[in-house]
Amino acid sequence: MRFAAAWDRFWFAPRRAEDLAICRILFAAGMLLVGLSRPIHEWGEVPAFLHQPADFLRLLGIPILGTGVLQGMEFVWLGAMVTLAVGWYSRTSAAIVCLGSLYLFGIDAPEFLGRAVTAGVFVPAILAVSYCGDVLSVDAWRRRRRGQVINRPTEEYGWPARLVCAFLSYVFFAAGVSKIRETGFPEWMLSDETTRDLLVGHYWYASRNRALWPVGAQLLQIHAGAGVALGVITQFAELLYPLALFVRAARWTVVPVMLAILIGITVTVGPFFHLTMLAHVFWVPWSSVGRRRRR
Amino acid sequence: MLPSARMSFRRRWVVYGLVALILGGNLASFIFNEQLWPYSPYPMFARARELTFETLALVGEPVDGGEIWFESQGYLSHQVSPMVINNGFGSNRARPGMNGLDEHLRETYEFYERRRRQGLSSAPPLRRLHLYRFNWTLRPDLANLRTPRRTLIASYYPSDDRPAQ
Repeated sequence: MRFAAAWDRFWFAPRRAEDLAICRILFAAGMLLVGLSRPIHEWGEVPAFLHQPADFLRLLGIPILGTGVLQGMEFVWLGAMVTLAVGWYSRTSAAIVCLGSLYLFGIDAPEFLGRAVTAGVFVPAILAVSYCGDVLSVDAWRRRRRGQVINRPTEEYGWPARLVCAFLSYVFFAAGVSKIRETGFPEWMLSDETTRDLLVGHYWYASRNRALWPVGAQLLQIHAGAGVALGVITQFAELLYPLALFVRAARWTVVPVMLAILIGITVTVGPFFHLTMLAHVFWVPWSSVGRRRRR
Repeated sequence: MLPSARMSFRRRWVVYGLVALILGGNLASFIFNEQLWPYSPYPMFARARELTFETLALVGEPVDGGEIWFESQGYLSHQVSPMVINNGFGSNRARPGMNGLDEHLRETYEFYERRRRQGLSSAPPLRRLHLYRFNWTLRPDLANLRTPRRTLIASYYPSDDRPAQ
C-alpha cells in the first residue's frame, strides 16, 4: 500500500500548467531548428543500395517514398512543430510530430545514426497525451474567447515532465550499463576507448559530423591520461543520472555534468545529441525560476 | 484556471499505458540488446577498441586533376554521410572483386553526375571514382590526418563506362 502510494506520488506530483507549456514551446521550437537542418526528403533520390531504414519499416514493407512525397511529409511535420510551439491544436500537432519523426527519422539510418533523435519520437508522444496546450497557447486564447474554463487537476501537468526525465534517465543509464556489458567494469573506463573517441572525430566521421575543435587531441598531448579521466567521469555520470529523479542534489550536479559531457562530445568527437540535450528543458521548474527572478 | 481534485482512474491508466510503451519498450530493447527504432539499448562507444580507425571511403579524381574525398560536401546529397557510404558498400566485408561493388560504384557515379548537372551540388566532373579502405593509427598530434594507409577496393571509369580494377 505504501509502495503504491509512493509510486503514485512519483508519477503524479502536481506542477503548474505554465511549466509544461514552456517545455512544449522550447522543445518544439528547438526541434524545428533540427528538422530544418536535415533535408530528409533527399533520401527519395539516393541509390537504393545506400538506403538504411529502420528494421521495422523493412519488416512492415514500408518503402522510402519519392522525393516529392517526402518533401510534402516533411512540410507537414515541420508545420506541426510550429503549431505545437504556438499551441494551436497542440495535442494533434504533437501526434503528427511523433508519427512524422517515427517515419522520417526512421528512414534516416536510425539504427546506427539515430540515437540522438529518439527523443524526437518519445517527447512528442508524451505531449500528445498530455494537456500541454492548456496555457500559453493559441488553444487557450481561443477557449478564453469562447468563455470556456479549464478545470484540470495539477497532477496533469506533472507527469509529462516526469516521464521525459525518466526516459532521459533510461538513456544514460542504459549507455553506462552497455559499456559494462560489452567491456566490463572498470575495464571500459580504464581502456583506450575514450582516447580513441577524442581522436577519431578529427580523422573521419564517428557519426554524421566530425569534431569541431581539436581540444580532445590537445588535452591528450598535455596528459596521456586525460582520456581515462574523461572516461571515468562519463561512465559515472551515466550510471548516476537516474538518481536525479529522486535526489535534489543529483539534479543540481549529475544533470549539468551530463549536459556538459554531451556538449563536449559534440565539440571533440562529433555526434550532436541535439534532441536529447533539448529534452533537458523538462528538468527545469520554470515557474519557480520565474518567481526567484522576480524576488 | 481552476485546479480540480484528482486525475480520474481511467486517465491514470492512460498515462501508465504510455509509461509502459516508452519505458517498457526501451527496457525490452535493453534486455535483448537489440535496436528496434526508436527503441535502443544505447550501446554507443561501449566497446574498448584499439587506437586505429578503418573505413571505406569514396575518392574521386576530378577531370582537372587532384583528388577529392567524399565527406559531407553534399555531393551525394546531405543525407549520405561517410558512415552511410561505409555501410552501404559493405563496411569491413568489402573486398576487391566482391559481387555488386562495380554496379554500386556505377550507380553512385550516375547519381553524383545527375546532381552535379542539375546544379544540386558544386561537385567537379570526375575522371574516375574509387572505393578505398582507409586505415589510420590515431595519434594525438594528428600528424597523419591526410595520409591513411589505403587499399583500393574498386574503381569506376565513367569515360568508357568500363568498371576496372
